[in-house]
Amino acid sequence: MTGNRQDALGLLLLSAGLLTLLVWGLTVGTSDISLADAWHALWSDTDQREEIVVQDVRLPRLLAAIVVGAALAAAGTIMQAVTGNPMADPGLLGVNAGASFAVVLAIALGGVSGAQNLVWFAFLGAGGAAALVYLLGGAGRSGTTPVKLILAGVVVASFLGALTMSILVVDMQTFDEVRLWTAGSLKGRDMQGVLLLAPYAGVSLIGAIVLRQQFNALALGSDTAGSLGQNQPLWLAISALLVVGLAGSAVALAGPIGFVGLVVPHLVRMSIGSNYARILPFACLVGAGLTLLADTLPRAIFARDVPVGISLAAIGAPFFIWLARRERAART
Amino acid sequence: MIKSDTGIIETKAVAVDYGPTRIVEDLDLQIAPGKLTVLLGPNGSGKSTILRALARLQPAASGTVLLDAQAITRMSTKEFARRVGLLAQGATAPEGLRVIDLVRQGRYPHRPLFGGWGADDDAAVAEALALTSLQDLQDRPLEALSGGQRQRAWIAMTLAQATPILLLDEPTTYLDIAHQVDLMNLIRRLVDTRAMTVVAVLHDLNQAARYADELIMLKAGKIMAKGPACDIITPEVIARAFGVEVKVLHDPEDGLPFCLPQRTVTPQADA
Repeated sequence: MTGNRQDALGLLLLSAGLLTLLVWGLTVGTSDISLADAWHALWSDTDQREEIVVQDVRLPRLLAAIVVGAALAAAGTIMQAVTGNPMADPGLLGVNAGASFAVVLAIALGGVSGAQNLVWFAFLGAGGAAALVYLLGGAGRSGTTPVKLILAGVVVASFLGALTMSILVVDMQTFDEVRLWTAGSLKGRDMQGVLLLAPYAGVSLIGAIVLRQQFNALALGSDTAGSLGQNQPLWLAISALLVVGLAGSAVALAGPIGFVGLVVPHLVRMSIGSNYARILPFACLVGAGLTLLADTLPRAIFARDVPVGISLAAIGAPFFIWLARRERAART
Repeated sequence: MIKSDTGIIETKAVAVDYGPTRIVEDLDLQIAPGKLTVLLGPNGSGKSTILRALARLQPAASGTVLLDAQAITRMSTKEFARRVGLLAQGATAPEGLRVIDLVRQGRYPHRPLFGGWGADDDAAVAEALALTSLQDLQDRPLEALSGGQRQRAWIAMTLAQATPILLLDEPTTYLDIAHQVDLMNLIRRLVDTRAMTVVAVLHDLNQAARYADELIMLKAGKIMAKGPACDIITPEVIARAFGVEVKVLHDPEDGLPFCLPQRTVTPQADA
């Protein structure tokens, strides 16, 4: 099919673009390192200063941006398909807040440390918050409606966010440890952390890509999907697990970053249409690129380190308002 | 590709609950294979509930629904979906979904978990698009279509499913009369040329009388009357079912009955 070839070409171009961004990102930072020097420093093994900066500071941060962006974009895509809600996003639906609350709680009360341990708390918190939002959003006579689901998500996200803040206010030591992280930051990620968490995100991403055909059926709603022979409870559970794995590992790596999961599926949908099987791989690459850009651009332009959660919110919040207004206009 | 073997679907002493309320009780229903059966009845009489029970979307509280003498609850979801298709009421698709992408979803029960897209899938989709005359619109997003075209796209999805049995929940509601006629003629053609078994819920008594082989009049979750149009579209049956006095006339050409409502005769308990 020609459509497949077009998609393959598009994905190839996006991958090349992502790679270009990655190489460019290696040259951006407090010390000026030219492209040629950065490229050289990436592969050499002599412990010079430039080499340490490129290999131990910049590269892990850029890789973390790629992993986090791809994971959150995939999570958002799956959530939008499954809930039939174009405003679904792991940030807006409280999944990220749940994950970061559980992580902060584990650090403050349990003295847990190390990414490989904290990630499990992130999964637990993400799953718990998702379940809570789903229950709250489905309460009442009319069942789950898109608006109720978003309201439930916002309520759960702000409640868990407030709890997280109150722990941090009381516990200064934890506060210092996670201050940047709770704003959603990629600063100071070391290669060890990235390598520890990337497999969790990677497995979830591969799972999502392999099973991407299922999201199209899910997106048609429970009646239609059921009459097409899709085993609803099974695939809803698998989708929830994938979202928890994707959002949980992203939060464990970079804190709660919002809006990637919201914005990216829409950007992709606008250019290739609403086939979720096609959207998913594109969303992964675009999400990775957008996060990488949002993290690197402030340093390149202002020479300041802005947490990526904040720079993405600056892009994402106006987009959300535009989307919500358009949704309302479409309904009336 | 659309199978010619006819499936036989029937219910044995089926009761269906909706929340705490029993909607359908002790229902014994045999659907005539290779025919168009229309479920009629006032609001709340259980038409859609029965259709959903046949489609396995609504579990029976007691009794069994049988498909070719096998309890439908004992089949896998995919196996059932290869034999029974449903056009649900008010089905929605994601914004921007193209017609072709929707119709392709009809192949879901025929595809293995990780399997690719085969030649028979392409053939089934092409045939479904041809039957519904949607070839020229296949790359359009659904929301760019008229109501009638959109309904045809959903029908095309169920046709791509290639099931011997097709269940339609109020397929003509919200369509203008031209689109209604087109759709009913298409359904009639599927029954006549492919011996498909079609069960449809309709509101329009005259439409039902004109197109159906068999009418089933429901009231309060029970079968009140069953038979060809000339036995069901009568002043007595309609007064009993709807509490409406009607004048029944007959088409001078084919003798099919049609009715003109006059006035309500008894206040309806449950509207």
